[in-house]
Amino acid sequence: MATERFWELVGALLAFGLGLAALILSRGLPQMEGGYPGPALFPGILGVLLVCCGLGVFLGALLQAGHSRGVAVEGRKGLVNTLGVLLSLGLAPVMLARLGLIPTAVAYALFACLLLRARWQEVLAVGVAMGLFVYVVFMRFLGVQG
Amino acid sequence: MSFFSPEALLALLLGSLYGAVFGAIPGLTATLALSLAIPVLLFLGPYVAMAAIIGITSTAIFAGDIGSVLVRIPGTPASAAYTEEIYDIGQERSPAYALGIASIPSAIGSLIGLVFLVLGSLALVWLAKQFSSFEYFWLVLLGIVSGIFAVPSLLKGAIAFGIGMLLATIGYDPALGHPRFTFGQPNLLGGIDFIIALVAFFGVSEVLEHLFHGSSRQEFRRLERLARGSSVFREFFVETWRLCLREKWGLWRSSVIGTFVGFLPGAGSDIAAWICSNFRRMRGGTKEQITLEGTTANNAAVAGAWIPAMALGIPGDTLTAILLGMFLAMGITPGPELFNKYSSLVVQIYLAFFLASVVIMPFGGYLSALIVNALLKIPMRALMGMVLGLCVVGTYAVNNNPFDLYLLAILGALGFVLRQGGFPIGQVVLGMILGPLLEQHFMVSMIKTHWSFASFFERPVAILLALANALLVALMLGIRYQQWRRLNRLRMLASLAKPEE
Repeated sequence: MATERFWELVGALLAFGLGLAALILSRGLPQMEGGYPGPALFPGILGVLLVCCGLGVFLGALLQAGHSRGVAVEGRKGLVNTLGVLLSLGLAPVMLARLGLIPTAVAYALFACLLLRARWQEVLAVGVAMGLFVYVVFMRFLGVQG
Repeated sequence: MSFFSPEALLALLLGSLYGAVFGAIPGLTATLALSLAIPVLLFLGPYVAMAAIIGITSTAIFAGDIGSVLVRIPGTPASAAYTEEIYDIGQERSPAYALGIASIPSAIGSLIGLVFLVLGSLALVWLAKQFSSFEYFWLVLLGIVSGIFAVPSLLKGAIAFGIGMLLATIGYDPALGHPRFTFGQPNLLGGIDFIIALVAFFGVSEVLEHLFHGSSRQEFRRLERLARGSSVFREFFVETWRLCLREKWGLWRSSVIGTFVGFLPGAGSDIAAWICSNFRRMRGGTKEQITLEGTTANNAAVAGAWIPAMALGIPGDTLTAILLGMFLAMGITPGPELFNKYSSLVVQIYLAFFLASVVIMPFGGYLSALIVNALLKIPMRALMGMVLGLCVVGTYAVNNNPFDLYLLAILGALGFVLRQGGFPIGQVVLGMILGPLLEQHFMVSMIKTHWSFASFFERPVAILLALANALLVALMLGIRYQQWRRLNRLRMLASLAKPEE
């Protein structure tokens, strides 16, 4: 419960930040003829909505966290694994250019399996199945270049 | 290419089996199945792709019951309403009989839903032809408002919709064609590809969730035999059919309610199943009756959700939001244009629903149960590895653009944070579809009338839709207020009871 409260706070701050960014960035957008609001109007409204609702959820989560035993993050190892996969996804375009489509797909499938502590037989089976599937379906059947 | 082409029929069959497998295995959802399939289906053309999508969506919901029967875990949220009952039926009588109840009434519910889909979509298209941007604005707003109220927390629903709509503002704006929030990046000028967002929100975030919680080590106990005593065929088909004949009024009622609930924007198959099974439960129904009504309703709701999606371009749930994204990616605008320009595709959709209901669900149901029972041997950690690999390949395949993989990582992280905080991801996706429609119809209306807000209340249908919006907000706020008061009363009673203990 405390973990969800923590992520609620993070989500609320994220919404608040996105709303604020939308408000600030939309100020630089042009107006329509006659001084009517143009492309900035809709993002501006969404910005206000996100700022207000983000603040509401943040305060609500803080109040409820006060009633409970506080805010904590459980599963540090899980968080490290999650961040590891996210960071590795940032490398995907480079891997794709250097290694090609099949090795990249297989590498990600194996990486996730290993982080989830799969047995080596399972890892091997996933690697072979992934490679075959990508080759047959994506490269041969659909003609995806890679 | 026509519906009766071997490619389309094969797509329907393979889509059904694929949907059944994803729907049945706990932890894999219909939305995830569709998200991973979309990058492949995009290449196959509308006829084949639609056949496959109908196969996936129509069977994934009913296949959720297979997980309930085999391992007491609902494969999809739509099956959660009667999991206990259907599992008990499987244990007390036979798994084949329980799977029959999951399959035959689902097919009947889907068939009745199809009748409403044909009649409802044709009637709505006729009505939609009279619509201008003012009516569409109110209609889209109705979809957004009901989508927000469909979530237990209003603020979280609004945030999810807000984020989805904000993501959709990236790229050229609909009024002046001016680029917004692109940060000089040419890859963002066309906006965030809906399919990439879909793969990130449902695929990557699912894998991240498993990594974070480390919950992939669950093992499922498989069934050794599907029937006891009498034959599987007799239990699966004959006995279930007898039950359906005995409970024909319950079937009708839950089909009609299910279709109606599915038709409402924001409400989906799970709500339909809860309403119908709870209704029967409150009236002291047997386990068979509760299961039958729940499973009929959630499948009828699938067809119901397609009515506004096809006729008006307004998604009823996440699955139809994905369907609309698929239509748009193929250059097809849902609504009257779909019925005018692609009438053969519309007929194909109806026929595919018919085949999925009459053939796939009853006969494929049995086959799927056997396949799923075998597949339960594959551990979740291996499946999640495959899902991540497919997310990477699928994202790249959409545009052959490596830049999309950066978006996959960013949106995957966003989806993960939102999921962990209990923010509904489905609403983000709905926001991405409905946001641009809302802005477009609003800006067109404003430009047409030189920014006269009164013009939104000048046409009779527009006034009716505006009133429907106001009524919905008032009604839902009233219900929420009553729930809040009841909860407070219960809390007070609980605090009074404590000292006595």
